[in-house]
This record gives sequence, structure tokens and C-alpha cells, in this order.
Amino acid sequence: MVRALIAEDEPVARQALRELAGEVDWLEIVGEAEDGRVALRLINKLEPDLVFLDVQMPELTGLQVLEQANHQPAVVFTTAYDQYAVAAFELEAIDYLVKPFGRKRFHAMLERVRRRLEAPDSEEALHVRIREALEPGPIKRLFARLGSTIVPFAVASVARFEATGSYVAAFSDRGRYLLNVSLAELEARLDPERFRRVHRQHIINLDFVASIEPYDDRRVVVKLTTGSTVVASRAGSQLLRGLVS
Amino acid sequence: MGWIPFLGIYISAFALSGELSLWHAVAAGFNNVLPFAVYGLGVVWICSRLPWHPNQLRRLIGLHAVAGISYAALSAFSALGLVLLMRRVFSTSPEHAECVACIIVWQFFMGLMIYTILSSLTYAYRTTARLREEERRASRAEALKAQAELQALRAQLNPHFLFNTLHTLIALVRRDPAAAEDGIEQFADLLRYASRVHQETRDEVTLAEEWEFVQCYLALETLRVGDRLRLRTTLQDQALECTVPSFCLQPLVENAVRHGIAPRAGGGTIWIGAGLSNGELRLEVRDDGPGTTLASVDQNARLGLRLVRQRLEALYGPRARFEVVTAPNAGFTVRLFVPTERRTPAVDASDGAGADR
Repeated sequence: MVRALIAEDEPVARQALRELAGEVDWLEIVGEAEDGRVALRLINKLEPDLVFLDVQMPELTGLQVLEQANHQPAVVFTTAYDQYAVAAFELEAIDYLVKPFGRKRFHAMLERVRRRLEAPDSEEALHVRIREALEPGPIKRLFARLGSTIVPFAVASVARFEATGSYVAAFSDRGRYLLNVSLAELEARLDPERFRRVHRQHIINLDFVASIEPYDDRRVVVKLTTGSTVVASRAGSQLLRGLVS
Repeated sequence: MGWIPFLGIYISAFALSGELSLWHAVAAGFNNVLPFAVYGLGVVWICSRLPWHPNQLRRLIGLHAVAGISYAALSAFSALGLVLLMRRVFSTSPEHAECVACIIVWQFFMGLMIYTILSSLTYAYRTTARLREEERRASRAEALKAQAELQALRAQLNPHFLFNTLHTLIALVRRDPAAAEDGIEQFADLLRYASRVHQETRDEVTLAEEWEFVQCYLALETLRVGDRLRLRTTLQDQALECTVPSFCLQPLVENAVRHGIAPRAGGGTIWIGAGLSNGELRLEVRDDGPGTTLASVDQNARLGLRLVRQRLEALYGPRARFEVVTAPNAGFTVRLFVPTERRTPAVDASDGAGADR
């Protein structure tokens, strides 16, 4: 049995979580907290394996609770949509449920959590990752999900990003990783000195540029040291030419 | 400068007639044109004193007829005077003496023509300038209004509130379908009010309409936070009939919920009051939350409050007031005073708000 704690300030939402969790046979709810301070006390006292943690709560936010707790459980964040926070969570591959969520999404998430709990990753403390994720400014690492495992990789090792559907593919020296974010969300968190958006679908790492050559009258083609080439859009070409002067 | 071609016509006419030397032609040209130019300033002045009014056309034409004849006569006699003066000074040959009558007649009709042209040009210029100014003011007022609307909608449809409310409703669907139905209806009412006010681009609604909207909002917030939100309301019936800016009360209440209730585990109480006194509508929203310093209210002017203040300024200028009373651990009170009689035109009032930016 996995011992879980619910931290949620809204009574209806709390009760709903309790009911949904009650449908899961491997889960046991050991406590409920209606504000951040109670959540902190119960995490330290009950030492649960898993916490459903609301990000916005009275007294202490979910993030403050994790920072101050002596015990580090696995965490599923619940949050109303906040573009920045969601992008940050996704980039750092932290489990979260966006409100509103119903039975289907809850169970899909729990399936993921179960697999993760069975094969615990030996990463640094969750709250360090979360703090890094929510800090403004460029991020240094990205996390890709491969099944139930989470693979961290350095942003600097990525030669280029390419948008494909609702995913972004990162081409690093260790291979190709899929990230569940938009290119715009990703761009906002990348170091602008190093990464340039050269096309609606492409961001390139300037450190990996081998050459920039004319493609036609108004566009340039970027050749990367990895061997791949990217044709920049007109606006992107202008931007790249601007780098030279 | 505009007189130079006119002067040129006179000079060349005199010179080409072959009766005068070039020097005399230039002098005669000046004699004839100078009075027109000098009295022309008077024409411009008269036109600016008699602004164009389509429903006073008869009076205007009469006045301009008198002014035009005076202008022409004055110019003609002045020109004649100058000509005679010149003759005395330069002792020109006397064979032109019989032309006194033709000078007068010629200059008089010329004067009438010039008066007509000058006044038409003046009116045309003034009309264009006025239209341009009106256009500028209208577009500025429009921009300010559009901005306020957008902000209102954005503040109103605060995504946090929307998504949290939807989350509560999903939960209720399983647990208490009847309550879920009520909640969804209220949610729809809320969206309907917001989109209706937005679509009709209405600046003002009755307080009763706004209050109904606030009640929907409060019902949904209560659904979420439960008994942590306690409410005391005193709204006079007469006050409810007054017109107020749309979205003037809800942001104040939302502010109280977010800063006065939500951060506290035990919740708190919100007081909402509306009353009439001295031709003013007084709206008050108070909470017993943690409060803040006045300086920090000014600095991080909460979007909702800032919006309400801007709209009051835009709609009523100095006739409306916006007050905040707060201190750390002493709750937060916002008071609005809105004039109950008709407001001044929005274009005039919005100038004050525009200058404030």
C-alpha cells in the first residue's frame, strides 16, 4: 500500500480527491490538510509516500511546504492553470494535475505515479528541482520522460529544438528527446545569448553552428556541427545576419 | 505671403498697360493690395468670432454681408487715399485724375471678391482643424474605453477563478448533482453578464445588475471555499436603482476574497454596503483580512482596483472619488463615491484620465 496525504484547501475539491483516491486499491489516504501549515505538520508527522499538493493554499503555498518539510515524499501537484507554472513543471518533469481534472485524468496520472514509485529515480531532492523550475531566468537542465523514468540532460548539450505537433524534440549529443511543451514556452526559459529562434519550428544553439550560408535571396541556411541543417525563415535570417555585424 | 501673386497681378497689369513706368507700376500695385492685406487680418478675426453654425445661417450671412461691404469700401477708400498720397509725393502726371471713380468701383468689387475668398478659406481651415482635433479626441477616448473593457474582461475572467470553479463543479457533479446544476447555472450567468456588457460595450449598468453579477460570483466562491467566506450586506433599495460603471463592484469584492479571505486558514468576513447621500452613491467593500500599508497599495496597485479607479476617472472626472483605508492587521476597505445625476460627455471626461497617464 502507498500511504498518501491530501493537501487541498477547498472542501469540495478535497472531498473529490478523497473519493477518487478511494477508488485506487493500492492507495491509502492517511491524512488530509486544509491549509499549508497543517500540510507541513502532517508530512513531518505521518511521513507519507505520496502527497497530493495544492500549489495555492492559505498560510503556506505547496512549494513552501515542500521546502520546509523534513520528509520528502513523492508529490503530485494540483494547480489551476497558470501558464508559467505549468511550463515550468513540464520542463522539469514533475507530476502535476491541472484543475479542472476528472476521474480519467486522475487515474492516468496515478498510473504514472505508480510506475515511478516502483522504480524510484536517484535524483536530487524534488524541492530543489521545483525551485529551479519556478525560478525566473534561463534553465540549465531539462527532463524528458521515457516511459516511467525521467532522463535529465543539460540544456547546453542540445544542438537544436524542433517543434513537432504538440511536442518539442530536443536534439542533444545523447540523442533525441521529446518534451511536452510548446516552442514558445521553451524559448521563454532558454538563455537568449545561446539559443535563437530562427524559424516558427526551430530554435538553434549558436554554440553548435558550423556555418551560415545564403539559401536564396532572403533566407540563410544554418549548418550545425552535428551535421543537420536548418533553413531559417526570412525574419530568422535577418536576425542571424544581424549577429555578424 | 499669400498676397504676393495678387500683388504680381496688379503690378503686371499696370506695367503691361504701358502707361506707367515699372517703378510706378510697383508702387501702384502696393497701393492697391496693401489695404486688402491689412484689413484681411480683420476678416480672419471676424470669421473666428462668428463660428460656423448651420442653424444660424441667416444671421451669419447678414453679418458677413455687412462686414464684406465695409471691408470692400474701407479697402477701396484706403487704396484711393494711398494713390492720392503717392501722386502728391511723386507728382505724377494729372491725366490719371479722372480715374478716381474707377479706382473706387474697381477696388470695391475686388474687395467683395477677396472678402468672400478670405472668409471661405478661413472657415475651411478652421473646420478641418476642428475635425482633426475631434477625431483625435474621439480615437483617444475610444482607445481608453477599449483598454478598460479588455482589462475588465481579463480581470473578470481571472483564469484562476475560472478553472478552480470548474474544478469544484466537476467534483460536485459526482457528489451533489443538484448543487452542480445550480453552480453551472450561476457560472453561465456570470459569463453571460461579462460577455453581454462586453458586446454591448456598455459603460454603465444599474447597481442592481452589477449586484446580481456579484452575487453569482460570491455564490461560486462560497462553493469553493465553503464557510471560510462570511458575508454581511447592506444595500439600500434606492441605491440599487442608480447607474454605476459596469464591473465597478465585482473587482472590489474579488480583491477582498483574494487578499482578505484566501490567505487565511480561518477565512474571514466581507462587508458590502451601498447607500445614497448628498446626490452621491456610496459603495463600500470591507474585509477583516491582514490588510497592508497604503504605500504598498499604491505600489502594487492591484489590477482590479486600478481598473475601477481609472474607469471612474474616465467616466466622471473629479466628480467621483475612490478611497482606500487599510493598515497592517487592520483589514482593507475600499469606498467609491459616484455622482447620481447624469454624467458629463465621456470625451471631455476622458481627457482628464488621459492626461494622468
